Amino acid sequence: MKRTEFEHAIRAAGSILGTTELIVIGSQAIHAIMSADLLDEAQRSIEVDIVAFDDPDGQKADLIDGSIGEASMFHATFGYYAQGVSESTAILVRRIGRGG
Amino acid sequence: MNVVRQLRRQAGVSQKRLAELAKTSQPTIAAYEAGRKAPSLRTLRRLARALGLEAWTFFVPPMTREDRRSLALHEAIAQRLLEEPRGVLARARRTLALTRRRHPGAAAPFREWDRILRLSPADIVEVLRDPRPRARELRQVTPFAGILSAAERARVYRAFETSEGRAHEAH
Repeated sequence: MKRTEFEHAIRAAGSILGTTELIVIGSQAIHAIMSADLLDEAQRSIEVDIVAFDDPDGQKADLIDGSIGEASMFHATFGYYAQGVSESTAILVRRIGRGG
Repeated sequence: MNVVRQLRRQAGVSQKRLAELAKTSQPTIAAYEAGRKAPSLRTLRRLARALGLEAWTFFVPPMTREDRRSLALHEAIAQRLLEEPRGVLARARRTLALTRRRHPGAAAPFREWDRILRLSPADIVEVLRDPRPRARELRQVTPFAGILSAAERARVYRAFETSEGRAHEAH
């Protein structure tokens, strides 16, 4: 995913939830600390994983995913999408990151 | 659709006949198909044999909520594929070509989808329903984008949230 695509998906997710604050997890989080486009290898992903604040039951994650997620019209139109991820999965990812 | 019902219909047998062949009762088959009861592994193997199939058991890493959601979405897509195979496959091939052009770095999964889209609809459905890790990864780059309308997607997500809520309460 290119930086412009990443920014587009993030903005769209923010609009859906009416917020300017979201958490990006997974490989595409690297865009947050890189100002330019990444190497080709780092652009392979076609999705950005997004976690919403205060979303214990995953409803906000489903709202993002249902609107601009996997297999959506957004995905069909642009060739990339935002995956709404629940807090429980995000915690799992962090545990894996710690080798747990 | 429930897998017992789907396989029974594919085999062209009635609930009563399947019950006879699998040495169980018609109301039990009806309960399996309605999701009110779940067959034991032994019964599942008997049902499979009665339908001329083999039931296999394998162990996979637990699915995340997102994996289960993706599976629910692809189950709805699988139904559409079986109903309108030509239109759905034509659209999936166009989407795959578009995505390949836009993401040249992600060649491997797209090559695999290219191969899969040449299979029969029934075999493609197997991939869409496959719970194993490789199929989960493939669904993340699904070429079946835009197959379901916004309203159809909303129905899938509502049903998913209901089933997840029930599962959560059960634990």
